[in-house]
Amino acid sequence: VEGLNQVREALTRLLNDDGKFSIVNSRLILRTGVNLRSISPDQDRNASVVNKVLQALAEMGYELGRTG
Amino acid sequence: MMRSLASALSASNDATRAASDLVAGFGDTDARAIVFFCHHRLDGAALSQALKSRYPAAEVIGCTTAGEFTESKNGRGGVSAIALGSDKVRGVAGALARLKGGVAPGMQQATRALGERLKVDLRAADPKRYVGLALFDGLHMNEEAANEALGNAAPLLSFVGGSAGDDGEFQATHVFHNGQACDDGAALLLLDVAVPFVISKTCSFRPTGTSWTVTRADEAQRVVYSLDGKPVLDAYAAAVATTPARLDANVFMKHPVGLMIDDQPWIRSPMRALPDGGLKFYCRISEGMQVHLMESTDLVEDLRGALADAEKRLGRPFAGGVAFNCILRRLEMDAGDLHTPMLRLFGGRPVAGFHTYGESWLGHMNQTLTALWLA
Repeated sequence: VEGLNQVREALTRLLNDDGKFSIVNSRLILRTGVNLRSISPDQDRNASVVNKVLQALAEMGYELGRTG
Repeated sequence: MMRSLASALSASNDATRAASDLVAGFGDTDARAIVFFCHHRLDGAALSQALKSRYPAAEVIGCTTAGEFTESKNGRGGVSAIALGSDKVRGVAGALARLKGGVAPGMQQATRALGERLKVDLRAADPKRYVGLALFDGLHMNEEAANEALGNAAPLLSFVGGSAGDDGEFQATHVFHNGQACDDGAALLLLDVAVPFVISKTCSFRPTGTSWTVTRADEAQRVVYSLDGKPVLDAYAAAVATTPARLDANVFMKHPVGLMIDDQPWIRSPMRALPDGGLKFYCRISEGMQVHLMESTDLVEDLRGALADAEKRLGRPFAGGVAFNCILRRLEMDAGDLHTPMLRLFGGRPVAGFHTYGESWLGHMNQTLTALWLA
């Protein structure tokens, strides 16, 4: 996974439901401050931010990969 | 005909007398779940045991408070409660999470027990059918980790609730389940709901237009040190047109900060300025988060709007519910004589709630009312 936009796309495919995405995204914002619906350019490819998001999602049971 | 939903209130702080009052208030309700909120001087373990003995088919959870209310009365010193009958809940499981040995393992054990008792995989459970209530100890600053553990066990399920209080003494708070008490844990209830339900969350704030990125924070201690690279007390005081020396509870109550999610503020309330230059909050704020300075709006009108929105989502008027109202909102309501206008909004339908040391839904927050409304 190279950036947060890829993370958002993968999570959208996995959940396949806008309501479910909203719930998981809200949990993510409260845990990490990152909103997958509003990714800033400086966040998108920031490895430490991407790692933080991937780790939080993995803890919730959504294994989406690793950063390069 | 048996009632499927009933609230009750007792002004007594004697557990036996309070239990008797609640049983009288519940009448012939076929209780499957009972949730109570009691003054910290009342023996909540004895009260929950008495209610469990009277209603053996029910799971009973509760906690201590910073004030209790039903749809008809607000008070401090007694107990409020609600009983959900079998017409409202098909199944129910309760658990007490003890967190002294670690938040994650304690919550994991409790959530596993909930799933086993209801014979449901929490990760696969339908979030339109199952909902949880979560009452946390209010003084060990474990709410964020506990909510994260709930999210790890059941990311799509809602657990709504609040943090126990002790009427502003900040010495010890307790949660209860079926006669057991815990001063460092959580009481959880998972409901298999037989009717439509919604969660609502409302606060009386809007963003001012000023926002910052948190650039240094001690997350575990809920302290922020810098905003946009500037000392937090300087940045915050300038934004509210005062000086760091004049920051006090009155300023903090009127101007918390919030995370904006889907255009809705999730409030983090400042507690006090620290001698080391930090600003301590009642809620965790992480480095990198964008927080918005808030200004007050009309508490009663905002609740009216939240209830109308809840009924729109329900598709019908709510029949009753459970509400968790921040102690800081209670203080605003005390000062503005707003308790009666607030209770009037419930329209006489059974509601039980308490004034909390923090509110929960998906995460931990402040200066908010969270609630579960049932059709």
